[in-house]
Amino acid sequence: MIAVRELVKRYGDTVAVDGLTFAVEPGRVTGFLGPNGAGKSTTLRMVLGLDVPTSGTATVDGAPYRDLPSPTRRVGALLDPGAVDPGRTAHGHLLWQARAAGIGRARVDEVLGLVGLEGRGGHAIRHLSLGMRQRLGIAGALLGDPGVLILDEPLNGLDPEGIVWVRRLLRGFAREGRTVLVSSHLMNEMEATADHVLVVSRGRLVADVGVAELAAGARERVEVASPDPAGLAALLARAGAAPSAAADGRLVVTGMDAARVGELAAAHGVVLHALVPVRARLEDAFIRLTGDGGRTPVRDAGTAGEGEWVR
Amino acid sequence: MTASTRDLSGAGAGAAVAAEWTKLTGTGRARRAAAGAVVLALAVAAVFCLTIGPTTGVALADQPAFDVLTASLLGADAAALVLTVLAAAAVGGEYTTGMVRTTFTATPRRGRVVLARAVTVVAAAGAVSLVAAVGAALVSLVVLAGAGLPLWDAADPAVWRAVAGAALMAPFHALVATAGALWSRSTAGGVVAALALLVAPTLAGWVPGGAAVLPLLPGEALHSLAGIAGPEGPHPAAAVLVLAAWSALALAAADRAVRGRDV
Ligand SMILES: Nc1ncnc2c1ncn2[C@@H]1O[C@H](COP(=O)(O)OP(=O)(O)OP(=O)(O)O)[C@@H](O)[C@H]1O
Ligand SMILES: [Mg+2]
Repeated sequence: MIAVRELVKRYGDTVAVDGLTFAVEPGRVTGFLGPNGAGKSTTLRMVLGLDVPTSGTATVDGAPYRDLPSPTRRVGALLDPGAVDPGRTAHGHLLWQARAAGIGRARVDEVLGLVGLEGRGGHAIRHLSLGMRQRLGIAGALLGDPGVLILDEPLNGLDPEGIVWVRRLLRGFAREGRTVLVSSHLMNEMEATADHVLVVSRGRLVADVGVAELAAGARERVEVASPDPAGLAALLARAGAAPSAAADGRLVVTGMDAARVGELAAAHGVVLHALVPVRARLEDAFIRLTGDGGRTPVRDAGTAGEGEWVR
Repeated sequence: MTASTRDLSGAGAGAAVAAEWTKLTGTGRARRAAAGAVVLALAVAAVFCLTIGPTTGVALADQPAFDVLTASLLGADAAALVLTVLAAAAVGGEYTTGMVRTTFTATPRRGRVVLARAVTVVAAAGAVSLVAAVGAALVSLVVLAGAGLPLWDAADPAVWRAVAGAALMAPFHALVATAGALWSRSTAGGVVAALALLVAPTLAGWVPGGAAVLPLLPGEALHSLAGIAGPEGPHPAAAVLVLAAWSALALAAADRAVRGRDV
């Protein structure tokens, strides 16, 4: 389990992480979401003991990463697949990491196979493609067969097959009862991967919620075209829906499903030219959550519209 | 299998040394550089032996064999310069690429990394420069034999003391360069640190009273251990102390800098 408490990181005037508190539970894939610059990578660096927190704590299995007796056999991490020596071979890059953890050479070939880089061990990293480097980074994270996996944007640079492979890997890890924390700045990327998401914006937590819960809460809307938009709008408003005019003259209705809109229009003899239910995407929920840049007080669930997602 | 069922006892400092050794020496690039340093030593040794007449004003035929040997050992000094720059670049390169974050993730106890680095760089630079020094000495032998001159006596302990002493320059300066590069997070910082110690005796010679600090500088200490410091040079025991103190100082500074900061 990963536990972060009141974590703050300042770089000069920049507050990269602003009082984060969360726990990452084993047995599920936790997505760590936030727009560019939200503080995800900074948080992960502090969890791994690379950056020193301004205040607060981050622990893995109850202890700071630095104090774990065999850190890479407990925690597998990939922060930046580009942070390698391009002149080394893929095998050589993994071998020195294996040595640091007291892991044998055989495991190096094993993880190269696991990530689909068998036969490439002897290639210089500079000759590997972006996606292959990403796979190599993941291989490094898997070396110690860790119980906790921390990956920063692991889907970057991967082809569709690679994305499916990483998803399967992460889900398999979670199913085995391991802890998986994986960051992304794309909600729809996480939709198919994570069971749970932590959403950060400007260094603050704006949501700590199950993906299913988030999907259920994402509001549906209905787009309606009618020769009498004003009359229809008035009708819908009286019935408790929230219609608003779109640029193309259509109405966008929230708070009422498509069937009910159609029934109301028929009952009042209003002609409809189009009636389109639009399923809200998680992406919209994400933008709504992070749109105010986390200025909404996170812990003040009573006043913040988004507060409902925060435990 | 989950992590909790496995043996997770610590990998220890030995593992950190093994990792640093693999990292430092496990590339074709590193092996080529080591071979290059040795070849350079042989070439420089040959040049200094063959030009000893014009450069010293005493013809080769009139030189004592031991002086031809010490001239050849300048080849080991040339190798030491190369190895020093390589040591600094090994650290600086990690900071440039960001690989240092992988290093400190693999071994989060940073003091352990600093120490493992020091041990491996001293061992690697020491091994290569010993080969370079012995090779350079053999070059002087070839030159002397080629000129039909008397050879130095391989049974003379002074010969091997000079060779071993010459081989000490590389590990010491590579260690200082490593520490400087860790401290400054750059190759340049490491090279400057090593060069500063290298030119310190010369600078000390320029300032009034500077000669008083000469025995405290590593240059004189290295000469003393090689047995070529002259009568007023420091005692070898003092020389060992001086080198140990500079090494400890450099490592302590690197350790302190590396420990408390963001990588
Ligand atoms: N070493 C640093 N020095 C100064 N500012 C930094 C440093 N690292 C991060 N920052 C700043 O902290 C903020 C958070 O950056 P961070 O990289 O953690 O964001 P992120 O959520 O990972 O973004 P992305 O999705 O783009 O990867 C940014 O404003 C960034 O400029
Ligand atoms: Mg990031």
